[in-house]
Amino acid sequence: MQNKRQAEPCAKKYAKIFLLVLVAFVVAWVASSYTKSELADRAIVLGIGIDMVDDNFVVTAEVISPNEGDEGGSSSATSKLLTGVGQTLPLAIQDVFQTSGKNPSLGQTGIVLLGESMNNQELKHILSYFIMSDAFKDGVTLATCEGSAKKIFESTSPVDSMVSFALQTIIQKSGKKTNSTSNVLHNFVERQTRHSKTSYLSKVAFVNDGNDKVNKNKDSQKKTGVYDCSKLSVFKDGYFVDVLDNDETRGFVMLTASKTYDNFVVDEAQSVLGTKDKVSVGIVSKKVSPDVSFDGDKILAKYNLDMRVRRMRTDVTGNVMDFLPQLPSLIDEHIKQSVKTQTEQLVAKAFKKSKNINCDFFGVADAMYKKYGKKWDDYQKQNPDYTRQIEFEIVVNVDD
Amino acid sequence: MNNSIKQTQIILLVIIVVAGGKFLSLPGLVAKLAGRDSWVSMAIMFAVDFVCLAFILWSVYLNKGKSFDEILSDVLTPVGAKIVFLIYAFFFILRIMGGLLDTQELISSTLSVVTNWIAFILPVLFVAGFNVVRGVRNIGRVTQIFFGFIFASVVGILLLSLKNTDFSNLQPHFANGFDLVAKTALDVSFWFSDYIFILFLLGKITKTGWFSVKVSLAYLVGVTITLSLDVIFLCLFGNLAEFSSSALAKVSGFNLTGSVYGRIDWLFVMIWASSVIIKCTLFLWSATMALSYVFGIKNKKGYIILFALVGVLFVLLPLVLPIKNIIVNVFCLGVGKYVTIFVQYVIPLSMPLFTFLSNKKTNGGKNYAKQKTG
Repeated sequence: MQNKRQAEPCAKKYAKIFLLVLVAFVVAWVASSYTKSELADRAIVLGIGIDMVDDNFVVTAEVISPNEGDEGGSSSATSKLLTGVGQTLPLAIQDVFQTSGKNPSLGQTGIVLLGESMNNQELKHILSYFIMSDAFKDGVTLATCEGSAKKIFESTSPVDSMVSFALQTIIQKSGKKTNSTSNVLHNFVERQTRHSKTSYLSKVAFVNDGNDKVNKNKDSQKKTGVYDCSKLSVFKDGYFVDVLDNDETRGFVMLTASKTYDNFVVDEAQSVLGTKDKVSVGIVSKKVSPDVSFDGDKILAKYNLDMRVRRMRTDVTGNVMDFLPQLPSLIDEHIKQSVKTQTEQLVAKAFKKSKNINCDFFGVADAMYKKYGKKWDDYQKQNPDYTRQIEFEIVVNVDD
Repeated sequence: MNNSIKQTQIILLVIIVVAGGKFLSLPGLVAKLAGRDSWVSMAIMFAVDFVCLAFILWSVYLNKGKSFDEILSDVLTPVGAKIVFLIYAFFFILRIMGGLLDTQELISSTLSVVTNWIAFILPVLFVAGFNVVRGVRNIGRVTQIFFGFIFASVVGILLLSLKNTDFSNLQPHFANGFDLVAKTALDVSFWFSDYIFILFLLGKITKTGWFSVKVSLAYLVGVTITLSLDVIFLCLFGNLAEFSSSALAKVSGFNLTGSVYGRIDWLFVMIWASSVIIKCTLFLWSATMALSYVFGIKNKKGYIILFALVGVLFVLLPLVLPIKNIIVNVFCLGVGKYVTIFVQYVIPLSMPLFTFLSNKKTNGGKNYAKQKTG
């Protein structure tokens, strides 16, 4: 009886030890089942360039390279380029990391640049690789470029050593303060699933300014220059169609990007000093009201553009905004009329281009579908080349 | 098991369970079925749910301290009640399994934290099991602690996304007819009626003034949050919405075009994910209670054994069966939904009548709980 009493606590004790060991084992197993990913094992990608060479995708990834410290003892970060080749985009990206031994971290990617060789590819399908990923930002800047994307990443800007950051700043942020515009990955793909099946991208061109001495790193072979993003490439159904020249881009941007800046030169205008001279004015606020409708067999696309302009001063820096206070007028009728005429001419060029290349980059079909629903569906089926049936109209109202 | 719960805790739980878990694969699935009108399908189901919730609250008002088990046993006979509770347990387990499978995918694809199902589910079950065995009061307290953070993260996600939202993308309305929208509402009904956990609280609720009104308002807050995020999701993603496996991760990350904020959206997403864990814990408690009614278990040891059994099902079923496919093809698009509709809608709508009959049968019930009626 006494032995039995002694055995019971002993069994409980062993049971507790067994339970403790079991829990420790389970915790250790659970912890080891999560894939370890140390920061040093990861390649944090800032930007990706995609080219096509001999039916293979060539991906250039700009990755962060943390430096341990320079002679002065301060630490800094630079970027390095990794390249991968594959039959498909996922394989090319995988190749980048297989050859470098690092795990890809695409969540911080800020820009995807498509080389000129991608113009013959169906981009909707190719870019769906990024779209389907939850970690990849849908709002990542997407752009095309003149020549190869790799060459662009091999260049450098005088003010920013990391190409991805430089391009993002120019395309995305400054884009609103110039007469161009930018697009993001998701919008580019989604717009091509709509009725117009069109979209646009900034076109980046590297302009070597011959100022390579500015490059701080003497060992660097990178060409220093600036990036021109004043033109747009337009796409239809996933394929590249054409490039809008500067005027066409300005005309297009005037009607599609409500917060985007532009400026005009007016000849023979009254200057503030009383002489007649060239005067430059800039847009400070803008409102575009599109209206689409059927007009018999034709489609009427009417745009009302109300804009306020001011003579350029140091505070007219490209910020287009609402709720501006009224200021004493320095814009006379001559300036207003000149700006109106110039705007109409720019927009007319963009309209003409849209009809000439049969590419509805203004998205008239999308607006018609929103307004008419199934009626537009039927019309578009009967008139696949409906772009030529569009009658564009622009009404510009310039104020100060 | 401490199952007494405060009114404030129920109100917070209602907001959490209505919104929690609805931003994973559901918006993409509804968008696939009803396109840009999918938010209307969700609104229809929320409206139906609101009616059912009103009936449940009516039943709470009529109830004189009886538990859900006692009411159903009185009216449907003990055997009938056991069958109903088996269906409830099955429904809750399937709902949680679907939610947790989506959550694992969210964490895996967003944060690249890749792991196997067992290593993912074991810690979750451990946390849930602790709360379940301790009782619903524990779940209520956890909700009180986390609610502020979860609510702030949802507001943060809404604000991050609002800038680029083009509400004209919802047009044209009913381009493919209203029938498709209504059919979709029925098809996705499995993912609704989250409030039915209140039935398992019958006899345990400490009612104070305006209980029904407060719970109804809490429900409407949850609905507003859910529909707002769904509308923003549809406006942002348009025709690509149907390809999204996790709406929340997509919506929150959409507007982060620059690098200034880093990936603040990941912080919001992970805080919000805790609402899924709270919801799963509550549903697991409901499933355990349903099974305890079936097997007549009323002690802590019994609850532990029941929860262990449920846990084993959780670990094993997704390894041997394509649970997500079964949910979509059988319980959303197939005939399975008519089985769950019985416990989701028929029982709640019948509850005031059942409570009345039960009261009448036993002349007020055996177990009067101390309650203050407002």
